[in-house]
Amino acid sequence: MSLEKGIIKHLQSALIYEEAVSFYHNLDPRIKLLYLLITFIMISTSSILKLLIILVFTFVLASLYPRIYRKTLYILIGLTPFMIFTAIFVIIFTVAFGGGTLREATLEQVKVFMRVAVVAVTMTTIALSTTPHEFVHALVKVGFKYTYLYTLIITVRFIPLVFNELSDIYDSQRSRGLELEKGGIRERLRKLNAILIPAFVCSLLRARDLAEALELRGFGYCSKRTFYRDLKLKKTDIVFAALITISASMIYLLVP
Amino acid sequence: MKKTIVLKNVTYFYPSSNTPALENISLEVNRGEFLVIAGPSGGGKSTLVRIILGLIPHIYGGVLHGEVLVDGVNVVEKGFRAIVNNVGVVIQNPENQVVNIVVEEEIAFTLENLLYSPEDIRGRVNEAIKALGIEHLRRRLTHTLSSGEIQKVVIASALALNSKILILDEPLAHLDPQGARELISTLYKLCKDKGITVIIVEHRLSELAKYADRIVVLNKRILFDGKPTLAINKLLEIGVEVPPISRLFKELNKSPIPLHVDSSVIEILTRDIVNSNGICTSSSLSSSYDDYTAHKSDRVIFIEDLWYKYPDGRIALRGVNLEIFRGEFIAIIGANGAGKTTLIKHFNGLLKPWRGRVLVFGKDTKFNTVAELARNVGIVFQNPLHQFFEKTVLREVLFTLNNFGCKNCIDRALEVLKIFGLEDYAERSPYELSIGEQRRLAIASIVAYEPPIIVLDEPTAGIDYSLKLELLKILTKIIEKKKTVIIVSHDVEFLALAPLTRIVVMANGEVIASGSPREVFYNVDILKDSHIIPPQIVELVKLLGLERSIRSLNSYEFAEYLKRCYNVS
Repeated sequence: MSLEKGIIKHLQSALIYEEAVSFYHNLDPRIKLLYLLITFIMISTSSILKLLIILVFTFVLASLYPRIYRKTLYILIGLTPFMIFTAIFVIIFTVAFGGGTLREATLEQVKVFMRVAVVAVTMTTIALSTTPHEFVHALVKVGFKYTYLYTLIITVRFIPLVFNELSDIYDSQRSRGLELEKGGIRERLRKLNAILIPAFVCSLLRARDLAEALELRGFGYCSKRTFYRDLKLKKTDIVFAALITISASMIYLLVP
Repeated sequence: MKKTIVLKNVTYFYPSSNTPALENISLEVNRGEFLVIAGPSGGGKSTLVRIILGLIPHIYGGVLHGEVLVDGVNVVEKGFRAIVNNVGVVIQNPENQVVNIVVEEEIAFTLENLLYSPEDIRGRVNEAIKALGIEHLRRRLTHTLSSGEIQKVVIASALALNSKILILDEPLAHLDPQGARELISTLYKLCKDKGITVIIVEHRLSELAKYADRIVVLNKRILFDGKPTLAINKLLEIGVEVPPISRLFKELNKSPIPLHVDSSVIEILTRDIVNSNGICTSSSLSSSYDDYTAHKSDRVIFIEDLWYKYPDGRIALRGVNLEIFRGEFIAIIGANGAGKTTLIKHFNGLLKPWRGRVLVFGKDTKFNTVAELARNVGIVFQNPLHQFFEKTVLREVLFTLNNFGCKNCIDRALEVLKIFGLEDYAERSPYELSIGEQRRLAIASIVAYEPPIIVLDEPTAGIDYSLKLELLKILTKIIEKKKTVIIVSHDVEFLALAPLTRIVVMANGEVIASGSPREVFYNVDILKDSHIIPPQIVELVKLLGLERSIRSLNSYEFAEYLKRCYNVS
């Protein structure tokens, strides 16, 4: 339990907004969406050289807010066991049944690693520096409906609460002698009820409170809403947008 | 005076219930009034809040008779949407009503939903933040805030909307004394300076009563509605917590009954004391002082230079040294975040020391599992809902008994339920019980397997006075069986009633003092360092200058002393 807990905590802390002053915190959320979009398009390439340059490029961009490195590392460490397992599995499978060579299969997996690393660093860059509210604001500006998008905010908001609650429930039941690690599978599943049922009940109560709060605070009364921040493109936003677009085009066109 | 809320003959039945949750309620609230609604748990206080907000019957269903007007709007007919701008509410668990990640976004949320312009919102948010003095919280993440801070953010979001009515449902339950005092004075200021109508539903009245313009006592129907001084008798009668000074005057049969310690109280008591010749000497009283050294024979917990660091690097405990002996009744006190719960989680190995060691009956917790350690240390955590999962009350108790090796112990489980007054509910679902009964069941399921040490984390949070007295009886019975009881609490008025052998004071992860209740509560420096406010009677005794002769902790002791030594009555 503690290993899984550790990994989840790491992943969770890596993907949560942090209060700070940085280049990325000041960047217009729409430009950040553009950055994300461009990265996703770029990593679809199969050229390893292109991937390498994109990887270096995104990591260099992260230097504008060095904390991104540490958080990216958290994500990568969290994903490593899973990635290694899949890679070995895929390589063996390809070589044994797919008729590929070991070299080709390994190279493909290296590319997968590189893609994951690129996504990890860009996602972290954005998640750390953008509140879900800003994200929603940017998406609403480009035409999405806010009532659906707010589910995202609520999810991010309640993740830490639910985790803390799970941990409190687990502590509470262990103090009553619950030992999840003992007994056969059936027995263990039955024991899991001691955690899941209280968690479910508490979540229901929380959901009731939240639903009432949303109703009492005018949520969903109108199909539109205003946002207290003004989204106006600044000079730095335009420069950054130009930089990533031009660089991406150049990598795409010039690198073999 | 202009009425802002009017309820006329309101009776309400929850869906599929034959007995009314509230009966024939008629209530008028004036604009700018500071109203306290008190009453026992299960007396319909939260239901009344939901009715005023329009959630009942529009979301909850059920049958509502009568009329409810908020600022002239008929809420029963028009629904809660019609009064969204008028009323702000802080619910019992305010963290559940916070939707956004950043404080500033949270305060702007309602305004954004109601299509205010960005400039207007920014102006209003700034004003609300200023009014509550929470500029330092503006960019903070909402899940990192303390209970008190969250309440302020929720209040700020109501102020930003210019709501003229604020309703708070049991706002003091999770606050430490300092936090409670701070919140009440903030609300009082908003009420008097900005003319906001404040309605507080609460049964912890010690701090609150003196601020109230009016108190309504509610137990399904309105039992009293009037000036706080006149409400005291009713409150005492139905077993709601009143300020200890009021209880003292009641014990001494004096009137008028005061609500807080002020110059007139001091004058009255000083006159009585001076007029009568004291017949007690200080030495005759010293024998009643607690002496926990008497217990120092059999050590059950030994903590040596304990340090604990959270995974995020924050240090929660800093070099704690503590010894606990068999038969002791100990309270661990301190402000929220002082490290109390972190400390007790070391007793059964839920947390392992980062540095130092913890020995329970000589066993080092580092090398033993929670299941092994829990045989000796039973911990009852704050929220009973975190442990219920079985179909019946009886099975909840059997679950714990089974885990500790007592198979087929139905008789024993039933016996324990009987001790806790729950035998009639044995076949009911734990979720059908009231808050007080759930708390008793949580304790019962631990007491059942008879661990020699029982630890309770904030056992009095959110329960009313009569339930507290009931809890005290249960704990006293456990102590009589030569068990060790440790409670973590910041409810000083409850602790002042308990026959504690020792109080351990914590602040910033350290134990800053440990001594008998009288030593600790009468030591100004210790309390100041730990942000604890002493029991009211302690403040009174000090103001009367009787500290050298008597160190009473509660109204019963002090009344008895005054009657015995000064014939005051």
